[in-house]
Amino acid sequence: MKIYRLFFIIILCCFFAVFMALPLYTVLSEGLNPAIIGEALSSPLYLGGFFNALKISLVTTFIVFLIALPPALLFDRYDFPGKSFANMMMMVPMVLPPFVGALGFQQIFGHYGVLNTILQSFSLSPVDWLGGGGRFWAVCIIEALHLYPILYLNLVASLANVDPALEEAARNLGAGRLKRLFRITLPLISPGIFAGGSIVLIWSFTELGTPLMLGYNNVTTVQIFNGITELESNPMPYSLVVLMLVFSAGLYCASRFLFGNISDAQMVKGGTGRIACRPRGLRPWLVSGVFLFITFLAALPHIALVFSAFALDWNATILPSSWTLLHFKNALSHEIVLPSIVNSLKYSSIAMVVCVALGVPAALLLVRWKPRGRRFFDIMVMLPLAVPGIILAFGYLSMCAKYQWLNKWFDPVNNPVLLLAAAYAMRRLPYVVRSVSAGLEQTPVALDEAARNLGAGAFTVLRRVTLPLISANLIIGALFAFSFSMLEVSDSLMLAQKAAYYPVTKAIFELSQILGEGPFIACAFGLWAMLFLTFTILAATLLMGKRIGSLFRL
Amino acid sequence: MLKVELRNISKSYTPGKAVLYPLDLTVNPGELFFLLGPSGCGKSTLLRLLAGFISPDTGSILFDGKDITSTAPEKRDAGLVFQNYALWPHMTVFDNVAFGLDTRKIKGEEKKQKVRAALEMVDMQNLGDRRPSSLSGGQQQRVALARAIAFRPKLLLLDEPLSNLDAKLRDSMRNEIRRICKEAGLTAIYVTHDRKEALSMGDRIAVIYDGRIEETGAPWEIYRRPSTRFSAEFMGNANFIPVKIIDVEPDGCLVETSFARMRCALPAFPVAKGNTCTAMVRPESFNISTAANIPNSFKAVIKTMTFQGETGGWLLAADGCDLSVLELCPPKRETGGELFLSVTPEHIVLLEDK
Repeated sequence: MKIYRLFFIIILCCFFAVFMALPLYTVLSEGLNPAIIGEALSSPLYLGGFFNALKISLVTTFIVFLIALPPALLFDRYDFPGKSFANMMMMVPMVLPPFVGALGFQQIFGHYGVLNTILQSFSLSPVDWLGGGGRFWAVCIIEALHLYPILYLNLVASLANVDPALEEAARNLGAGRLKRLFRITLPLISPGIFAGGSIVLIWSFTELGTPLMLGYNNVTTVQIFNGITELESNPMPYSLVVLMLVFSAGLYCASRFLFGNISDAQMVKGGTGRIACRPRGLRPWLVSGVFLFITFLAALPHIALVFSAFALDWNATILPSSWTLLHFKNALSHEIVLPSIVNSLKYSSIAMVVCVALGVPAALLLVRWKPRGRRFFDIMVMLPLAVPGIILAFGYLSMCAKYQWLNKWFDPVNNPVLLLAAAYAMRRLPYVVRSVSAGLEQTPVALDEAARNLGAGAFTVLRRVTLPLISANLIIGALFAFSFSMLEVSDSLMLAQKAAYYPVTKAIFELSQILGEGPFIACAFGLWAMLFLTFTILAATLLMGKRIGSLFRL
Repeated sequence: MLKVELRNISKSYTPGKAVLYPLDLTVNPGELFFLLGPSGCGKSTLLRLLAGFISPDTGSILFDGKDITSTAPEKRDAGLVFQNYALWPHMTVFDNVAFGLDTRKIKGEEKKQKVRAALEMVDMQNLGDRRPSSLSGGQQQRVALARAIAFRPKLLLLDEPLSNLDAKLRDSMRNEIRRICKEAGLTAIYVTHDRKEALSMGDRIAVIYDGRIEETGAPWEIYRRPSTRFSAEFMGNANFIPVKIIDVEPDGCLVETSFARMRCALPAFPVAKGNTCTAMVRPESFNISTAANIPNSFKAVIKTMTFQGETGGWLLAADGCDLSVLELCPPKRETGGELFLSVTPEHIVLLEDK
């Protein structure tokens, strides 16, 4: 093997050893204690929390499937007014972490929220939407409205790969619309369903921000979050993390070995693509209406957030009773806001550079170099998708607590800059690798070989041929790495412990906890974050088109 | 001009399934050498071994006697024209062609002059500013060729460079490529599955089948006097007639078929009286006449005729043996009519039965 390849593989392995293997080892060595796991499983509190997390993930995934499938099918089959725009609008929910959406959601479903005001205007009694079981459903709906684009993108990509002749053959043999859907289409796109579905399942299973924001505390992630202050005396959070890890890892393995082989789906790809038909009469407008309705539903928390950001007073009225720009002024003048923006920019920039520096050679390793054990490296670089943020963040904390010598560089209390940047980079590395790999796979290897044949060395080929050809994919990967790092929740909430090091998301959370106008300032700050991510996602969608779905696969 | 030698070269991608069995091959300096064979026979693998993109399992590759088996592709000085051209879409035609010069640190006026010369050679001097995507297939092919020769390689490798062009363009490009190779004095190795390309352009041809070299030789030799049945079939239509050796003489031998006794040239393999083998006769080697007054002639009955414009393809029955015959300017003849066929001894090639 060439020296520079070996050198890179060693660096990649070191990065994963320190920021993936070591934290996981620490968590497992502390938490893999049968007595404590037994105690957790026999405690109604912790067992209840685990089942609640499981219930949230299953219900969320089911709702996501119900939301994502119809528009994916409609997009694949029909031509309708504003099709490209509708597709882009389906990305709307991704522009905000769901926990920020929860702020807007409370304005709609709160006791004195919009919905109850509407009910009262019809002389109906108000409903405690967020009381009792309502909070559970609120968590599920908010998460589903945030996560459905992941499955939608996977479904659109999978449907585009299905040879229409396979469905035509079923039709020719007398299968009706539903039979074709259940017997032909869904089985054929099952790798895509599972690829997207498993990310949604793991994501919602380990989501911390939304239940925390809505006060739904009897769930494992919140129990872990609340337990980090007493790590040295209470081993229970370790065991809870181990339980979450086992479940997530199980799902990850199932996804990779049972259904994750996307090439199986591509085997059914036909020589002729499907030509979307334009239905007659009002039907095209109905199809557009479906997209509009879903987008409206998904945007509701965001709309409420925007109103809250401008509302001077919004209580028991459908719209705010008076408007102001004061919250923006207050947000900017608040002592934690500006430093948090600077911090986030700093952490995210470092993370992006690390992601690109590791992601490009990692993609080359998987797509071009193909060394022995390629499958191992593939699994390794995709592992951060399967290991939830909260587990990794918890692992970093416990790792730093256990190995004090690490505090010299990665002290979560006194200087978490490198730790947060590394955590962000680790979490977003798979997106960069996937994005760059997609570019490499679409670029004929003959273009590289032609350069080598003409005398170019490996680095010249990379600089003059490979990188220019995959520049769009590289930009998308870097954009995603940067913008998702800016709005990373779990790592930020857990690893930034001093106000001086708060990133944006932690600042929004802290602001929302301040009584009085705190939530309004948080909304104003959230609006800025929303605009930032909107720009990123729109740019990525325009650059990548349908292929954007390939980023969200295990 | 470079001499290329392959010694005991073999290659397999999966254990136990050889793509190339151990083979030896020599390409002489300045030769336009063809690797000809059907899809999957290993000819492109052989070319990629020469280019250095893959390494052989056994054996060595020598350029002018120097072992370059483990030399990196970028250090071999072998320009490769890819089947799909592999032009970089983000560079102009000029930049594509100049790339090999850049990597050799040739700059300034010298670089421009060499690029211009390469583009002139392929008649593309006016399109240097264009992007590959705005060029036709034929123009892209010319740019790919210019790129491969601009840095004056010692060896030119061509991987089915004409397979994506239409028939008319392919014909004109054949002459162009041969002219360019000869003008530049290049040793060139050309991979194709198109026998017409190999016959019309090559100085020598190696016929490859199932990872082995069936035979090497000049186009005329391989077409007229193939040494294996596969070569004979692959190079063009042929009649295969079972024969028995009746007599062996110093200048030829006498063979018996089901329909006649005929004289033929001595084969390359040893024969003795009483041996059986197969005689190969090309359809155009037969002469049609109405009288049996010449040697090696026999009677045949017309079964069908396929009119092909300038030629006619006759299917004739000669005592139980169907023969395919090609005739220039065919006259009208009735099905079932009788005629006489003759063939000169040099046009009957005896092939060993395996």
